[in-house]
Amino acid sequence: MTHEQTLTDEHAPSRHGQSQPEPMTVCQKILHNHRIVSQTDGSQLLHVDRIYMDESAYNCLFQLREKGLTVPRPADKYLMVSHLAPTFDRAAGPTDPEIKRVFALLDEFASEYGIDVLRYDDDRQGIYHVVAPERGITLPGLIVTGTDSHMTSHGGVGALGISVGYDEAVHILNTNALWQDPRSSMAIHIIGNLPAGSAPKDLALYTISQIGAHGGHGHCIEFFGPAVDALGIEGRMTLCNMMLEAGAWAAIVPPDHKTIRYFEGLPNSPKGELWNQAEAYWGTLRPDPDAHYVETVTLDAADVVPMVSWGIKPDQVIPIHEQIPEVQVDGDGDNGITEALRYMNLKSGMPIEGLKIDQVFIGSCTNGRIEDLRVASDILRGRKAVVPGLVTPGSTAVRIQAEKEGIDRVFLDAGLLWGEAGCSLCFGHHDSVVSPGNRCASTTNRSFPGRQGPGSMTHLMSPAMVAAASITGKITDVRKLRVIR
Amino acid sequence: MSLSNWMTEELTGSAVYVSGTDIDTDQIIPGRFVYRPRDEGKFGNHLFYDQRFTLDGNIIEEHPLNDPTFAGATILIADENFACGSARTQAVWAVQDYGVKVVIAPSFGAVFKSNAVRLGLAPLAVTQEDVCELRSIVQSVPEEIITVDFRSRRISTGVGWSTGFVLSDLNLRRLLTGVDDLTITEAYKADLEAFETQYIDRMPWLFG
Repeated sequence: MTHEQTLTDEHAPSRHGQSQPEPMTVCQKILHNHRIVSQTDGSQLLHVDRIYMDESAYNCLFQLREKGLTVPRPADKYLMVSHLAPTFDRAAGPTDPEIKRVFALLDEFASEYGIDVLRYDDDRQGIYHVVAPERGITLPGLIVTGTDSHMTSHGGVGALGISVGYDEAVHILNTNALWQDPRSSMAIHIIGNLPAGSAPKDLALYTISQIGAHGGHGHCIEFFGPAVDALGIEGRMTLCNMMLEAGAWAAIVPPDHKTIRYFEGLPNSPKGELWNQAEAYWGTLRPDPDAHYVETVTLDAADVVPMVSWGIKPDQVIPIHEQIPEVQVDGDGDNGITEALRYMNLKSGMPIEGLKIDQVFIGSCTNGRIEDLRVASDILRGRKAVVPGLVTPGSTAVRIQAEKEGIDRVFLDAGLLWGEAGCSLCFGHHDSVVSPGNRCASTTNRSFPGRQGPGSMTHLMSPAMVAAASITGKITDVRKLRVIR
Repeated sequence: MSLSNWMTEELTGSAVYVSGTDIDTDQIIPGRFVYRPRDEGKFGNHLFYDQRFTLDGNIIEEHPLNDPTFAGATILIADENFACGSARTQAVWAVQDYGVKVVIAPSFGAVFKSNAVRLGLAPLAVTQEDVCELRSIVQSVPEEIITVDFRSRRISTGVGWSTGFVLSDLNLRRLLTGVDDLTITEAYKADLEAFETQYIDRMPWLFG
């Protein structure tokens, strides 16, 4: 990894349209295009194209009511059920009174303000980081906001995804605008080719291991280079999704011909002459020569092998052939290694490969797209899982597509459970929880203590690696497994 | 609905240090408490719940928030990237409901920071060296009173140590006046309307 840093900050604030713009990064171009006004401290009021709200955003309803606010353009706003969506038996609906209360409030929210709500029984339903791009609701060059943290995912299709809290959401609902602190761009160039057997998730985990859990420093990470160009759109979304875990505020792969092709003919994509106008705008979303990046990092994709998280922080990740790291005290502490070893019940020097697991999970906004399920099913076809496991699609559209391709049968024949679309076991909360002391190989994004349930232990990896782990019951190098066709 | 007290220009109080870089909001408030109603959520009771209590509900005495020496602290000192991870606004509610008014750290999760300034919890950025200094002061003299002066953007202690903190003008205004974003935007209503008109003109494919 090479690394350069410059210390000057944002270009001078300006009122929209009144000054000649300086050379701009991709993020700055999108901000510039949406900037209504700036203040002298660099804070800016931005036009917001979309807002997505998951279940916890019911909290916004009370503020809207109390302040007597209107929602002038409800068509750009969405309520989507994902975090609390039942994993099984949707016909019966939820039984938990807390969840029933939240769902009832979402219905009130939707009907009072004319906002579309995608309930768990809606064929368009799913996690909005999966649903919004796949339907063309998120489009390149837009500012899309959401009350969930993984809005960075939308950068995979060239949109600027910003996570917001409930107060910001209320402001967006009422004004279609957001007050944003000044932000800088950081460039990550990924040269070389991703080797066969290494997945976009491995590239994402590798990137975090190189820059660290706060290496994104609240910047917008912009990805460039041949390895990024070569990624499919799903892979780019996986990469950008995980950059939130590296401390980035946003992440983006500038839209290219692949991005544009991806949006052709999607339900909400512009059509006819409007499509041509959109394409013209998308074509401008490349960085200007001399655009200012506060940091520039170069990584070589050829160095990326299957990666596994061993600890409880996003950067506690190692290649499959390495050992659990030694505790190294530098100046101020051990970077959380001792605590991670304790929580994960591991010892320094143990190989990660061969570590026994209790269960597996394939799904989430990181790896719940059709490509992810195809890759996992290719590993599992004709084989049996020796540990229990669950597969959930990221959206109902992904579920329907997977069932059309017979992918669900592959998982079921292997002995895994095939669930409905939503966050499910990524967010161990209601109907799917990893028991205390159980070790789960998971395609999700967080190995935080208790994330999949109190006392749960999570090892993050790619869909292929999780599929391999389910076959052996151990953390396994998927490259050593033969694909059965 | 505002349950918080806005800042006075000068705030004094004792502090508690919670160690660890990259403390995520799942630790600050575990997911299973997130959907509780705001007014009955008792979010302060759940602050760092799984760090403060065992799975059987027993107190983990070593946790600084369970240490009676630091009871009543209104200032939380933390390390780099405090409150990263999940966007849950409940993380700010939990810290505030516990009684904390100021969090001092080298950096914060982006959504936590934007929520905090809008809800009256002050996220003050200092250097890692400053955090180390403050930590050793607080750990050797837990009853040490720390003063935060919002006008001069300085933090000082009774032992004569002081440092500056970073907070934007707009965020300072939010904290000192409690002004909400809708009120701030009122002053730019004409800009907002003019922008919308030219935006629809410029980006017709978004409105087709």
